[in-house]
Amino acid sequence: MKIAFKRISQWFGNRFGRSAKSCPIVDAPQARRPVNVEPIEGSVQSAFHPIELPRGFREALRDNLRVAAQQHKTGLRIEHSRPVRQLVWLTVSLGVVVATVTTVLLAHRGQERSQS
Amino acid sequence: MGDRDDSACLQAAQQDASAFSELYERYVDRIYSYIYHRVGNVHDAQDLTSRTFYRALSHLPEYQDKGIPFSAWLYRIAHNLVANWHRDRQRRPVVALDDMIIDTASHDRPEALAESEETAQLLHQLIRQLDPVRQELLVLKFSEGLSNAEIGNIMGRSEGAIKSLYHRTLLAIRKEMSKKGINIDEDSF
Repeated sequence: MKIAFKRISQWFGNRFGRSAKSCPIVDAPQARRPVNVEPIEGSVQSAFHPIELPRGFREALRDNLRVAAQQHKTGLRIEHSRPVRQLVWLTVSLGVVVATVTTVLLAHRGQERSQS
Repeated sequence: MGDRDDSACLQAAQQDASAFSELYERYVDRIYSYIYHRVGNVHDAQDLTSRTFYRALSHLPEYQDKGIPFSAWLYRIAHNLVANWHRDRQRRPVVALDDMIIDTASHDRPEALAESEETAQLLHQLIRQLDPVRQELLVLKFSEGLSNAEIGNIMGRSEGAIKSLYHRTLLAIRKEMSKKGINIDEDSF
């Protein structure tokens, strides 16, 4: 029984495998010629010339970093002013002021109404 | 002292921030060059380079080597700062990679010089028109000379993805160049 099943499955495999090869439904992809990108690499490479770091800047930054590292050691920390942070503080402060004024006005108006 | 590897320098700097200067000396040129090619002007390149190293210094105690080398970590800081810089300037038409001038001194023939200058100009324009990811890939590859694996670490992609993107980028450049009538295969730089 097992042998019969094996032979039938083998026959099906051979039959349909062969027919699929002989008349493919979809064209098999053609083997592509590898594209040589070396000339493009050479061209792009020539567009990137080496950049030289200005000497004064390098030394100034090194000194500043040394100072910052010393301050890290002693627990101090330099925070650069950031416009965004200032804007957040300004908005929050403005919001608190507006909320306070509104509360006072509403309370005052409510008092006037209750008196009248 | 000068022969120490990154991890030894890093360990020293994590214990004592004043040892950070050795790491600074090792990477400042590369980071500056990377940033310069990404922003296209000296002023912003210097500003962002400073910020990169300040940030690295302040976050140094948090750095852990989880398979990402220190250099890649540093480039990532620079990458994030450059990305923020571009985001802040989206409204303004900022032209990056502007000053990538080809070294033309080696050309003997004036006609060859003119031709190659024209090609270089066109190439600059094409690179500028690429999306920021592709521009970054080209800068890391050609200006910094990094491998695909190193670029993958910085850009958060696999080595295979970088290789594929690199190949596609070069083909796209070649296609655009040939559209403009310049066949790179025949060009000699």
